[in-house]
Amino acid sequence: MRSKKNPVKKEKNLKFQKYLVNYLGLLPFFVLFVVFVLYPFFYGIVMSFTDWSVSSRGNVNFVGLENYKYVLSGVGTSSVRFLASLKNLLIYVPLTLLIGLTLSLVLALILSQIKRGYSFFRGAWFAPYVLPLFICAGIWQWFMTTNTGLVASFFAKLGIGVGVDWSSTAIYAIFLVIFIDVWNSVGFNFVMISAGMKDISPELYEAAELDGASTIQKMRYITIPMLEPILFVVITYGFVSALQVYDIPWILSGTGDYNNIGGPGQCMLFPVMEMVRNIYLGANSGLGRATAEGVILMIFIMLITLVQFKVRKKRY
Amino acid sequence: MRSQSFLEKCFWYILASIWTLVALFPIWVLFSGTFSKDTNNVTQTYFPNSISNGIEKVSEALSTINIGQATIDTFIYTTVTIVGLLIISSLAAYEFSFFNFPGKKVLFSLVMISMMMPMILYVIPLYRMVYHMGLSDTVLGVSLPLMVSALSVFIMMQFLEGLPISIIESARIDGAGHFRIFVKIVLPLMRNGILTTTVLMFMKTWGQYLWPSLVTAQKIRPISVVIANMLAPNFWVDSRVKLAAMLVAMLPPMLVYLLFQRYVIEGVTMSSVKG
Amino acid sequence: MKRLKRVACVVLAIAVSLAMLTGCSGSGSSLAASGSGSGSAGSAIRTSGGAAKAGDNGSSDGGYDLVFWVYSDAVLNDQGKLFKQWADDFCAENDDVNSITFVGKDDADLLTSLMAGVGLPDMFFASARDCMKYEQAIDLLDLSTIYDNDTKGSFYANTMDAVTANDGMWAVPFMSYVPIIFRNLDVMKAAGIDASEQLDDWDTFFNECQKVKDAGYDATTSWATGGYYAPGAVLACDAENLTVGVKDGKTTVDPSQCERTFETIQKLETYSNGMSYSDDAAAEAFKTNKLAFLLAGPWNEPDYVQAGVNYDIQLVPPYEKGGWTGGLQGWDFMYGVNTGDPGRNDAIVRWLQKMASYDVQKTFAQVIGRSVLREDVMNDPDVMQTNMLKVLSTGLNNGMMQMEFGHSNVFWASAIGDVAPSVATGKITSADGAKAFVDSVNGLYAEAGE
Repeated sequence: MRSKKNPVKKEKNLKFQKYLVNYLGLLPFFVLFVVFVLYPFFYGIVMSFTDWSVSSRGNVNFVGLENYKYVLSGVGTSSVRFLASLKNLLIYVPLTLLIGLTLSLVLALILSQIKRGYSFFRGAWFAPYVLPLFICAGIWQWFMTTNTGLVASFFAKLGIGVGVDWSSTAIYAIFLVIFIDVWNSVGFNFVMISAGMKDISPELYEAAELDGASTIQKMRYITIPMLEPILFVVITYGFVSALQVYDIPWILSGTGDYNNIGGPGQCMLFPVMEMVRNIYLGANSGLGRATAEGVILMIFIMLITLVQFKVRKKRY
Repeated sequence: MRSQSFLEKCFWYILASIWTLVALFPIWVLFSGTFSKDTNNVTQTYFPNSISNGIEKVSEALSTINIGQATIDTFIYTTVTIVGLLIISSLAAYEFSFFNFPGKKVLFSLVMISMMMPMILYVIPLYRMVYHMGLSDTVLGVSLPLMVSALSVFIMMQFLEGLPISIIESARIDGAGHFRIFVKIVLPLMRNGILTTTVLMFMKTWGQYLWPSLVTAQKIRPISVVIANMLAPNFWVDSRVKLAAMLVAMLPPMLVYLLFQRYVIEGVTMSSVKG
Repeated sequence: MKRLKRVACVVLAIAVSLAMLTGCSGSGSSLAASGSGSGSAGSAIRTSGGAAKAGDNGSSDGGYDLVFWVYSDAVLNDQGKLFKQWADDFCAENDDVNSITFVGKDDADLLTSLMAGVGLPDMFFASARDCMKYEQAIDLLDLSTIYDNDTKGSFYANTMDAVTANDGMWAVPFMSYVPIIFRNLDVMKAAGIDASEQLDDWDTFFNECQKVKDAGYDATTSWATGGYYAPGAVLACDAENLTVGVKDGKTTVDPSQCERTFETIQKLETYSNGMSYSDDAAAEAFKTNKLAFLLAGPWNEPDYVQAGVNYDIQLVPPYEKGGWTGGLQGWDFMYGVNTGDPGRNDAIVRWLQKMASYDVQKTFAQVIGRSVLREDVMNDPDVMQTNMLKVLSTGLNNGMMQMEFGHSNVFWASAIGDVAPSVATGKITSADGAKAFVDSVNGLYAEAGE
């Protein structure tokens, strides 16, 4: 009896010891994670159910779902602004992803045709990604100045946006943000995609050519399906960062006053910016509303990510 | 693939050159704007025409705007962040990649979710806590929260993906302990992953604004905060000095990128492999 | 290729290390007010409690180490030197104060720290727009003792009203500005305009714009874009006719009172070059003699001086000659924080008293060339030596405050920044614009719950 029980116990002990050591290895990361991310994060979520504001001086009351109701009601300035920012986001996110991805694919395609100078072009195209966003925004602001800006006058010659002040006109303002964002991030996406392209075996293309496939057909039936895993990652990363767009429009529409953040008619307003405005405004429940908006935004991000994963699993 | 005709070659090179121009021109303008005469319209200066004036502007940015001190401070906390981040993330990546243990899935999805939390949502409670720990305006105070990076765990896991678990098993048979295996066997194999993480995180940490601006005061001057203050309304700074300041602020990440280009690109590529 | 990259790297590396070296030599001087090494020992930001006690316990050098958060320009250049000088003098005169450390923090930084409720300085220099927020959010120090009747009388009357609330006085009025028009005299000459002609009324300005336009130059920027600043400056020309205030959560301003403002903005748009007043490109056009009139702030003057522009300064004109000139007045106050330590509080009050004094504000106006909020300084002929100060002095007697400083959290005038562009582009009429503006102001009041 004894001799039979002991090895089992020993095995259990051993297992536990093995796990202990694993948890030990994870400990440093998770200690910092819990202390510096998870705890303040839950604190923030709890605060979204209160009337917390700059002036509450620790005197905070629970108000239930009041902040969520207000923010989504469409009545009242910050609610109108928040909904407008969501509408802008709805235009911005698909467009910036679509334009960014198409451009990255095209760039990867161009690069795949080039033999000499491959690494030079790759390096040069990645460079904008290294620039801090506030610098990108500053320089592009010059290029996009009405009438005199280099790029704005080029567009005007093509008949696009003649005499339009890009940073204060609806739709144009969103495109301005898209330009800067795409210019900045396309290097990153293109490097990922072109690395994936290199892995596609040339025989596939040769076989397709024998069957008389056109370039577009090759792209449609070989390149894109083969790149699917990489595109998935690019799109997921892209969604998460595009939904939190903040720096570029903040700089472009910054006027030193919170009520004007996001440009006239909220043409360049995005949710994170509206959160920041609520925080600084000092209105009653200002911080509560800001955190409620943040939670709504996060739910969006999670839902989209979840849907992406589900869709992907179904297809394969 | 079939060989290209000369015309075809030209076509691709022209396309490639066009995008090179688009990608590099704004960066070039930063240089040409700084190194031009004061009488030039700085927003439309596409060729540098006064090197001496540029040097003057750079030195003014360094002395009066304190960009120099800010560069050093930022370099220090960025380095501390990265060292800490490498240690904790590589350990976590090691555990997640090679071992199965109860709760692994939950813990891993927690890490995953943390990538989706906007910092603005929790930055104020975070600051309160760091302050009460007595860490505000210290290097550690800036660095500790920045060390938690799910992205770097991912990248390192991608680099470990290809390694067979048998390496670890055979080492264990030889009598090596859990952490000994990590230090002696896994870490050296992760060299590229570590370099990649270093470079990518260097760029990310260098540009951080929200957190450093809140937690620092007089002892540490983050470069992003110094530059943002310089751009504040109701206060004029010579536009060429601004450019010069941005130029200096851009140099360290650019330098790191140029030196480690290969690893950066490898890292970006690796993080895409899994999906 | 590889070699080239290597060379580039080496060059960059040298540049960075040089940058760091130069940075070292230049830094220390402008940031820390007091050179004493012992002063900077201890924890990060001292507010109350612990750090203050350390001072009390009579260490060899004793005294408080005060921390003063200021605008980032107050630690740079001439302003930096001036404040450092005052701090040194103050420490020499007051044995209980060891040092004053200046930290550049802007309004946004300040507000975020306030919300966290920890890590506050001993005193701070910040916008008057947030005055009421500060009163609500922090335990501010009552500065009533600074203001005897004599002192009260020497500030602009409305500033005293702004800092007074709940039986206390919570700030020291310090700096101010009004938007001003810079005129490029070379462009005016080329357009055949007599440069000695003052902007007596809007018609004069429109005439000048027309002449400039006819001569083939750009007259001015858009007065509708770039936020509240430019349209607000026009709005303030009608300050005498605006019934500013709030009753039952609604503004007492009537849409009919602002119609003229929107008409003016619309008319100005015909002379616009499409840029907004704050665009870098606009300043560059002005400096390169391509733009005649630029609305800007007093802080922009050094830019034009450095570029060698031939310019003069005008207030935003009145509708009738000799009438009320425009300009939304922006104010900045200095505040003290109640640290809970009577001795420390006393030292803070003394420092702020110094900041409120005639000498300090006079020196500030003379050296920096910016207007201050002491009326006696702004009317002192000794001080009013420069064109800028003369113009600002007149401006401060006109226009209106951006908002009801100290008694409201709503920057109501800023709502105009949202409406003005649609009026300027002709999307809506001036009358509709005026209505939209008033609605939008009411929205802000409702949001703030005032």
